[in-house]
Amino acid sequence: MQTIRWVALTIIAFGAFYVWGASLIRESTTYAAVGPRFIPNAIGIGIVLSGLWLFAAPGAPPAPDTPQRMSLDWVSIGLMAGLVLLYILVFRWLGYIGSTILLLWAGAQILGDRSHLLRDGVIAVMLAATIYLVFSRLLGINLPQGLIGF
Amino acid sequence: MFGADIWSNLINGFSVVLTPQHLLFVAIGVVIGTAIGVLPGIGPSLTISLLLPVTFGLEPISAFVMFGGIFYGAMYGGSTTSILVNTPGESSSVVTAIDGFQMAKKGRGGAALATAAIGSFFAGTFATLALMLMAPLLVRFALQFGAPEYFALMLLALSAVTGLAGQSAPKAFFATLLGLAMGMVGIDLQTGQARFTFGNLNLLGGLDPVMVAIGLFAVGEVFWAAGTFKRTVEESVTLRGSLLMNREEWQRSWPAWIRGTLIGFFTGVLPGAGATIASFLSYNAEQRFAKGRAELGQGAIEGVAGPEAANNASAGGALVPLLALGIPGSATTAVMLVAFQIYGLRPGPLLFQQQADLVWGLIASLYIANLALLILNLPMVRIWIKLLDVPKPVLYTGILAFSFLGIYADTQNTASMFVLLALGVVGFLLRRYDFPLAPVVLGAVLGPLIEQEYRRSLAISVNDYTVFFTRPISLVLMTLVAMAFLVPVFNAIWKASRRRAAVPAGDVGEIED
Repeated sequence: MQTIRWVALTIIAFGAFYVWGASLIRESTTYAAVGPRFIPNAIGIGIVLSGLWLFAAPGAPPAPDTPQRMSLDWVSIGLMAGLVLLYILVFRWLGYIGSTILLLWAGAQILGDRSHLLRDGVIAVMLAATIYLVFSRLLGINLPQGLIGF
Repeated sequence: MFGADIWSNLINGFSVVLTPQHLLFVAIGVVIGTAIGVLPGIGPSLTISLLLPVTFGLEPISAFVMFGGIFYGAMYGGSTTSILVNTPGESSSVVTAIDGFQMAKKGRGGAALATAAIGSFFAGTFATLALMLMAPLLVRFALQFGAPEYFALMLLALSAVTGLAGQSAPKAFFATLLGLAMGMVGIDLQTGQARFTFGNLNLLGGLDPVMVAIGLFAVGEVFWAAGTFKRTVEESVTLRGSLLMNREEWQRSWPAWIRGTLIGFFTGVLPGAGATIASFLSYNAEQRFAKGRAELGQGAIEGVAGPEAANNASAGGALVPLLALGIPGSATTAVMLVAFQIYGLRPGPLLFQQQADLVWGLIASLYIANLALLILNLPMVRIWIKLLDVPKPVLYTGILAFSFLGIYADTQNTASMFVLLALGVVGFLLRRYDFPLAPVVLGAVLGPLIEQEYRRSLAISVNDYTVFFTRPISLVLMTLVAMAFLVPVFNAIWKASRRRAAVPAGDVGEIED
């Protein structure tokens, strides 16, 4: 089966989930002609229909240079998503500067900058510190201080 | 406030903006907008989304004056990337890359940059003028609109963007619905019921459309880059020769500017057809009318002049429905609408009456932004080019850091950062399977609004569904909706019946305007 048909099945499942989510909305039919459940329900059904449509008409197989055919570097994508997850988890604990240095430096390595460890480190420290200073001192936006304490 | 009053309003607008402080904001907006627009992969809607947190704490007029600068700056910035690197900065500059890059290879890169800059100035100024003349007329018309008309208009915007996005109708249809589905999350405004929050308090406030835009476009783009970087080879040329156009290049440029400007403005006014479509239409026109049409594709200056004028003019055109009706027709103007909402303002006829200073200040700042672009950009072009030397891995992680910073600055909570990550994964998957992203953002913004107008209409008519078809304006709009909706359906059926007749063209890039 074509990959795009699996995508279509995922869409149908998501639509069904959405309709179920809509059924959890409490209707209070006292004064409004159309309650809070009506439009969400319609959207959910529409999503199921769009999935069915895509399943029925998946289109011609993708040309070699379209995004669907490009062979992807899944290891890098996984590492990147993992890094972002880690960033969020340590964001408060390490503080803005510490966690952002980690994100900037490790992210650049994942994206293939392996030969510039030191340069990327310097950029990461400078960028993180600058952002922190501009946002917390100049714009008065609260960013976590964390372990380092600034 | 109509007719001849336009000029006194405009003078009033200039008097609001022509203060050192506001001029500084315009200049900052133009510089930041251009700088970020130059960076590959970041278009105007993302630029505005990323810069929203920077404006927190400014008074509304200052913020919007700055947005005016960012808006045109981001539109212009993409051309530099297209001309000097063979990867366009955003989808609306895809066409520019065809001839612009060839010109740069031949040593006429400076002339290509110049025709883009001067064409953008010409187009932007004309579009602002047309916006100024057209918007008040539309406002007068729109004062008669009630809930059914607004409902029909928004439905038209949604169906137009669905019909025009991408090659696959079911995919565009799903993208729009996904955006609407995201818009439903949170407290229902009319009844106070929680929807799709699944007991999670963080979701009660809903999914912020700005977060949707940043997640899909920025975070998704970084994941996409992680998957493709090592496999794509990029070609770039250094800028040689003078930045001036010669006599022949001037003579070939100006007709293309005029054609591009007219095409761009009217394309921009239509809902759903943004800068990208404007630039493609302009290129088509050049293929037919340009003096150097035989040379198109190998470095004809018309191929840069026309599309670049068109995408700037369409930016001005897109502001007409946004300001006069409060209805965005593209992802960029949708994000602008959110910016208005953040300041507690609702664009539309009432804004022209109640916040005349703000509206006319914004219009005046658009003129100034265009002039500032022309003055700043040509001399500074060598600085912009330096931005292209930033190593891409560093650049992309920087975008990532800035995206999460913006969300945290806005919400002060890490739960929203998880949501942003999830949206990034969704954006990556949509891109992987070639779904258009702009309708998702537009749907997320319009979802709650369209639902309110729908329910209000039916409340007024006491549950009589014919209310959408018995009022003349609403009937016309609904007919247009039906046409916008049926054309792609028939197209799909037609295509399916001639199975495998044609293989779709290659990756046209992300439609992000």
